[in-house]
Amino acid sequence: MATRTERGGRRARGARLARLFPSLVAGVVLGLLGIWLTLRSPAGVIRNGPWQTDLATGSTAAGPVTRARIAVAGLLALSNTEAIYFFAGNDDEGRPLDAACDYRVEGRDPESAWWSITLYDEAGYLPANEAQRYSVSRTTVGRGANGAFSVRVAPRGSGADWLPSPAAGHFNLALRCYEPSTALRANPGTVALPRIVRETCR
Amino acid sequence: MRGFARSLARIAAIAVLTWVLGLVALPRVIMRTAMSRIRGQAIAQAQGESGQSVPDGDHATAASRILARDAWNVALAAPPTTAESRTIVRPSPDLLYVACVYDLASGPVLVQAPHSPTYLSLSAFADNTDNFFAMNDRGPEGAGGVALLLLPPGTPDPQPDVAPGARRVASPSRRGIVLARLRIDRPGQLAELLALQAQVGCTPVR
Repeated sequence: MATRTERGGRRARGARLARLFPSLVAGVVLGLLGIWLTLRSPAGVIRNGPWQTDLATGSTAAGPVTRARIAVAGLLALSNTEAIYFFAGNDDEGRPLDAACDYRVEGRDPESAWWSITLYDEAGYLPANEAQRYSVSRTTVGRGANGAFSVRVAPRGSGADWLPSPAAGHFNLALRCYEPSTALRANPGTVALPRIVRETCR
Repeated sequence: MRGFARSLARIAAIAVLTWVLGLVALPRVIMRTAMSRIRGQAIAQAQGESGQSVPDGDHATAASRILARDAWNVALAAPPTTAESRTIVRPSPDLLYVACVYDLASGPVLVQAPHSPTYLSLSAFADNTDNFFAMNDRGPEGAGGVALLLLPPGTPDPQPDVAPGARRVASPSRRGIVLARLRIDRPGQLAELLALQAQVGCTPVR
């Protein structure tokens, strides 16, 4: 049987824990909020026209913050000596890419051994299409006399330069540059990248 | 007033501690999830192909090898990416993947891949997501394919005569993932590249 002092001590500890509990909950909630804000922070994101890239992706993390951001945003991604990924959710004028509109993606080859442009739906998956075409690349794209290419992004089309867009909703594009040149790795924010031009909307 | 200040200090200390511990733990949790997800999918696919587990042997198919090793230290070839692919967000339709989820507890693991006419790379990721190694087959040293011998952390190379042509790299962690990527430059190459994908190997060296 517990003595009176033991019971008193236990009761005091219980009361102290009950007093600490709100601080504990508040602290943990604030800490989790901090993690969320840290992971959302655009630090390290580089913009180039409608495209953005995160140079931290695929690098060996310099610290726990970068490592956590990579784990969430680019798990198992290639290091930037092997490939640099650019993503675009908007056109050249900053309007969200919309399945109700047709677009032209045009420019010259980014400075890399190989590149591809892939179209994803809002959830980040490949939209089903009859042609089973999800990307255009340095190998498949057609070129004009000056070496420039022009890809048509639309729900319907034909030929090598057509990239099917989904029937509805917003979509986004990924530009993957494999074995990027030193210039592209050093200046991803200023090198010339394809333009995304909105044409007609329905 | 002093009690209020003390409460604020306590909340701040707990918040900072939560932030630090959470950020440190997150990559490991994500990596562990990825490892079991990749293995789980490979096992499900192998079960569909072979029906039941068969012991490892000379004539064992890739599926029975996966089941025999519980998808550890074995090449897990993913089917080509299509509109049905839902394992990862923004999968690349230009790549064929082979994953090797490794555990170096019983010794080194050898990952080998043939030379591709397009591009093939090996990337190794530690259990905290760090990309500690990458190589491709583009240079002259990749002309005959590429090989990576993963050594357990903190131990000297136990068999310097094993796989002499392989790059020998100590993994910072006991477990992790090596990912082989084979690029499809044009749709007509798919059959040829699928045959190369099947040649990518991952096997324990004892």
